[in-house]
Amino acid sequence: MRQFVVKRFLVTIPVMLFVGVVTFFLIQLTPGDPTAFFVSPDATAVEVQQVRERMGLEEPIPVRFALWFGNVLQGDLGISFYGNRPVLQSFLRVLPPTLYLMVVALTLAIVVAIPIGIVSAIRQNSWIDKSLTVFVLIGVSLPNFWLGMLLVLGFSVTLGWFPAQGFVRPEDDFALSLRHLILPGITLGYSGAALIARMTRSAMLDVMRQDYIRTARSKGLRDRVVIYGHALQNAGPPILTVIGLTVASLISGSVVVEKVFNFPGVGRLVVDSILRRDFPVIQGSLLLIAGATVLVNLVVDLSYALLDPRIRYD
Amino acid sequence: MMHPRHLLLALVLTLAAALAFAQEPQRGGTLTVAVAQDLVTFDRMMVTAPPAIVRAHVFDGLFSFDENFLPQPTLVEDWEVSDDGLTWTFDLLQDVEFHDGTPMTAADVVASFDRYMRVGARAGEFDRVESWEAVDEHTVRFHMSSPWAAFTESLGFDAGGFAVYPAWLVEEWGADVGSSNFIGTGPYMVGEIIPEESYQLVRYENHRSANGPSSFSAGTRHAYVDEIVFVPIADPATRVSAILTGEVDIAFEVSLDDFARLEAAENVNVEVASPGARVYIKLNASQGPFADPVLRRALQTAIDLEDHMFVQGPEDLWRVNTAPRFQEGQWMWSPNLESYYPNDMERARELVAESDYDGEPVVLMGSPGRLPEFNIIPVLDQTLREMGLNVETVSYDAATFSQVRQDLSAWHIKHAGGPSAVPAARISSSLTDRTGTMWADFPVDEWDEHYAVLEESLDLDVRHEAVEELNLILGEYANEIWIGDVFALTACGTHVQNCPDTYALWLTDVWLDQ
Amino acid sequence: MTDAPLPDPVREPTAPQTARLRPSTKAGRIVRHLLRNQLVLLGLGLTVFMIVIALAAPWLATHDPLDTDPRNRLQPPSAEHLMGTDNFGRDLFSRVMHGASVSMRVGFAVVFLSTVVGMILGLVAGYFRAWDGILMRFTDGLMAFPGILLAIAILAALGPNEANVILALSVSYAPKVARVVRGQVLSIRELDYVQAAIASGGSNWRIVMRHIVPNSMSPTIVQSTFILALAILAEAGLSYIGAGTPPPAPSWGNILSEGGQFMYQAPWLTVFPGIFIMIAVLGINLLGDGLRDILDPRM
Repeated sequence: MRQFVVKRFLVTIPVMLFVGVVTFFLIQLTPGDPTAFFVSPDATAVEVQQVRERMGLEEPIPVRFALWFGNVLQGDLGISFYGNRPVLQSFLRVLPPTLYLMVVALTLAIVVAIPIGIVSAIRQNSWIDKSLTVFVLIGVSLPNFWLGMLLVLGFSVTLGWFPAQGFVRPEDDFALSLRHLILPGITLGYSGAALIARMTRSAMLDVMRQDYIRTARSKGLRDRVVIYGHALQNAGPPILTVIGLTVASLISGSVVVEKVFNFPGVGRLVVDSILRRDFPVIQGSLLLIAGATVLVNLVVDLSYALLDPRIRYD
Repeated sequence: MMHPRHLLLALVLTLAAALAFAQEPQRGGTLTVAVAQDLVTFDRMMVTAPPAIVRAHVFDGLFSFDENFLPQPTLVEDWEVSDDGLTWTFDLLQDVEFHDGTPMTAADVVASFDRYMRVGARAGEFDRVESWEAVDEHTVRFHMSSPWAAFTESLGFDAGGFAVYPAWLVEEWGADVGSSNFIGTGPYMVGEIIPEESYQLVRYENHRSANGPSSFSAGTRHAYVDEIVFVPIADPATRVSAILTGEVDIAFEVSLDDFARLEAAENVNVEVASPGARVYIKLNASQGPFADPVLRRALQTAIDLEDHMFVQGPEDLWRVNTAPRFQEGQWMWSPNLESYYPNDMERARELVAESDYDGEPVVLMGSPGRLPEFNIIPVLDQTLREMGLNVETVSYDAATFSQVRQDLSAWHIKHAGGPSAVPAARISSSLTDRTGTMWADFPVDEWDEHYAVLEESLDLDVRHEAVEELNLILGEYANEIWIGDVFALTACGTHVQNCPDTYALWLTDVWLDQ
Repeated sequence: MTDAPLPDPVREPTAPQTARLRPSTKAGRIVRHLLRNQLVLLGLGLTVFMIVIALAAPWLATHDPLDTDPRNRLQPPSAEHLMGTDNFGRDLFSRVMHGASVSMRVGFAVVFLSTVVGMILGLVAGYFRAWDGILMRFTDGLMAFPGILLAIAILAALGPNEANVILALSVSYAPKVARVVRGQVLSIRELDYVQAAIASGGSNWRIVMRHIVPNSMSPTIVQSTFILALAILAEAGLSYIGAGTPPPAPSWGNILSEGGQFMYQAPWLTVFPGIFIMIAVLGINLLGDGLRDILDPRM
């Protein structure tokens, strides 16, 4: 077991190296002029040249890579072109809002999806099962930006229940913060619900077919007790796994949702930075996101190994 | 163009405005303002990119434009030009204080101009300025290498324009873009900055306003609200949602198609400002099919200018305008080049046949994020196809677009745009491509003769005539096709009084019903 | 949005499963199941319907999808314009029909490219263990980026056009296919008769093509279905970010995202393309969901 942990940990080093190289060269080879957002639409060539020199864009690429990589190893992700701010600081500022959004989305998804999955499994192949299946699958079939726009039109502009855009941090005003999170949370969570509901349903079916459940039933225990007591408990690990997978899909989903709601999160920062060609921010953020993903995968793998003793540590 | 509906609207707006003025201005409150772009930096000298309005509340320049687009003194009390036009002397306003409480003196102006000439965004326009010095504590003098009548105009143009910083700040920032200590003489001080989310300005109680009546960006200013918070909201539909839900008090650059909806909303008023943004087409006159002047003339002949403006929105919110660069007020928007645009497809096809064009691809380049200019692309694409040209439409994001347009082998025709009010020097950007190279076969001698008059004469009428000549040269050369102006729409909550009805750079004079 | 919700049917490398091999009865079982399950039939029907529209778009369209008519912009649906006109006065019906072609073409091309590349990577990594380490670190590295951000970055680098959209999405999905295939291969190659074939000196090519590929297809087929659904949605998402199929060519994604500015004034601009995307993707998801139940009952 210890060997497995150490090995699994060492494996992340080449992965992170690969991530770093891909990030730098993909971004630096991107055409487009980072000065586009510093000058007015009808700026002159001289003006543009001045700005480029100031940004250090006239250095050759290998020199830029060496500088960047050296700094990253020392924990310095650089300074943004846009606003002259340390990249790490910008990233850490937008990270909490995205995490709050993910927590709300995931909570909504779980709260809706697990009961749906259980009901679907109990009433397998009934019309209830089928309607619930269609309902959750619609969640992964809607373009989420369209769902977001519809929610804004309905619940913000028409009914005035929720803010249409932006974010307020919970430490400033908790209730308002929560209201800012509801619509983006629903938009993002709906697509995650399908995944969890479907997995709950099949895991429950799987477990309900097992002999000991049948035995429990035949002993005369009431259905509900059997189901909640035994089945759900045994269906736990695969459901947990799929929740982990859902988190990965929510990260991608949040990129679009944050744009719809003008939400100051990680996704918006990276996308805006790509559009502005703010190289230090894109490189630093992608490196941090990829690093976090690798770490989370590591933790998931390790905890899965702990939970399920049947796993071979190879 | 003046529809009955528009007339009625004007009447209602006038009445509303009259009612607003009847009220006593109130001090206090926080004004939350949605702007379309994020703020690159407060360092006003360094960037021309919008939103200039945020910077303009913090830093003052020496001049600002009035409603006739003529430069008026801001931090200047009085000024004179020597008879030979080579020496300009400015008496600065006295009792002006920076936000840190220190008085502004000629030394600060000189230090700021040192920095501007080194790193200022539009320093190139000032190449005739040879030297500058402080004569005494409140007088600065500029010496020109040759007479330059447009000096105060270039000083007054806000975006990336000259602004006065304290001398110590100039020293601290040097050639770098300033990232903290934004200290100016403006009516508001920089408060809390949450990058990409909100930019708070707080009223500076010791602000010394410019002299003269309030007009556009010039004259006396009253800072009524205690705080202004600028919130960047990139998506126009989201800005509209935010003003309708009351999340913001003012939304700039509202889409023309949202006008009717906002007018109908009970809690919102809309102000229409004309002119707003220019929309035009640039042709690659040096390489590719449009290097042939006959083909350029063919497009001029074919184009239906109105069709290219109808796509922008309701018809009373834009106008066709064939005058290059300058606006009425500024240059009496003349001359009218309409005779160059007969909207005659048949004649255009004949011209195509007469030209050297032999079916090679015509690359039409656009950037979907750049509105309203990009709106003309689908229509232009169709016009070119109807002329019998083999069009290939390519789209880039804004950053790639900015780069590709410098490469003359990569495009043949593209959309272009910019603000309506520009300093006279800007007209010369019609002569050159993005690398500063003059377009092929441009009649430069003829141009220079009239351009010298525009730059050097102090007589407005004489300069105006020169502009007419320059415009005719451009119309004849046909490397740019000027289509029209899209008006600027500003939406304000009904509790906002004196909603900005111009494309001005100030939110002073605006107040809130408490 | 580009990250696959379910195409990870095999939980590997931590939990290799024993493969189920019933080649002789498989086809019959699939057909029986398909016919029994109404939702799968519905999904199949919707998918086929959308494919037909995509193929027949040039004949179904009533106008040239690029033809503008600025003086008749934002007209509601009528006999002349079945779905109304957009902000350039273009016929929305014709654009949605042609958009089906573009969106379906992107979807199927992504499925093809990511499956082929993913299978090759997965087979090599699973069968030739010497390559396993480096290939899996490579896929780990690619999968460490959120799919849509990787796609946006690639599109920024290469420029947005249909071919590059396909490429960018395939780069995001291929590693996921590779991991699933590798997991299958790992378990199949441990089976007795495969081991026997290896021991008796059969050529690698023959063993892979005869035993490994056919037996590892089920999860890949299920996964491909979900990739098709995701690719269509991802194209729309990319269009919304400004990195999808570039205008003025119509794709469902760019029609829907451009219409987003007119949700209030001209709801038909979003309702029609939105419903078309939803129905197409729902159909594919129903199909994939059913196929998974049948082909991979453990899920």
